[in-house]
Amino acid sequence: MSALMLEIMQWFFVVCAAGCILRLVLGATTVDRLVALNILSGVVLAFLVLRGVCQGRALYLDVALVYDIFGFLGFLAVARFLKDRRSEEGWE
Amino acid sequence: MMVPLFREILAMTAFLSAIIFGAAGIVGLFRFPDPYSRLQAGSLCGTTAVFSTFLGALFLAPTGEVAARIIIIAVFFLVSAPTGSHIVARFAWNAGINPWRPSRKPVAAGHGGGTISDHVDEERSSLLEGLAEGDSKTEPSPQGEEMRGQT
Repeated sequence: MSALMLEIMQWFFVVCAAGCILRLVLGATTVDRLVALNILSGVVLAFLVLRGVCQGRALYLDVALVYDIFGFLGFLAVARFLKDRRSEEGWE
Repeated sequence: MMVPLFREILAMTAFLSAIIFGAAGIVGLFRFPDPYSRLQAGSLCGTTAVFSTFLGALFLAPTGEVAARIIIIAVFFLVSAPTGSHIVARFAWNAGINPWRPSRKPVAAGHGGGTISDHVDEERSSLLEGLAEGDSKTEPSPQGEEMRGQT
């Protein structure tokens, strides 16, 4: 029963990640892409946690924690880069 | 993996709320008109659905080390996700994207002149003057109009 629930939730987050990637690819503006990237980070984090609980191994949860930290740092770097570029040579 | 029944019921409740809020967030990400409201829908999906999933996974955790790692991940996620949303919102505001308004009809005469959008633009430009450090002149430009047209 619990294995079935974990399986269903994993598929649900795979579908959510596909929707976020769709928004990321065809997002109309740069801000839409940033929003989609922010959500994609959280969705993949939840998928990794579910995977780790389903397999009963703590290794996936370590991977999830490191993924969250580095995803957040990468997101900060992307936002900083876009802000610097916009202030140097105008928007887009 | 044998889990007691009451933990399964609690986990099923958390997972059901995660599915409801996550589906609503993804639908809002595609249906809302401007980046600010999309950010709201995305934060709904990100925070509520993902945190409910963490709660459900915590109820189903087989061992103590898995549960401890889930708690650490949840605490870090509660710090990082709103910070990222705040950065996106400030970036959009500084980029000159105007918030979406339902209609641009002027207010009828007698209720005080001017339109709602004029009022918002005025407020916005006064805020931006407070934010800008003199050299970077970022007046609200028609960029927001073009972007809204593209969506």
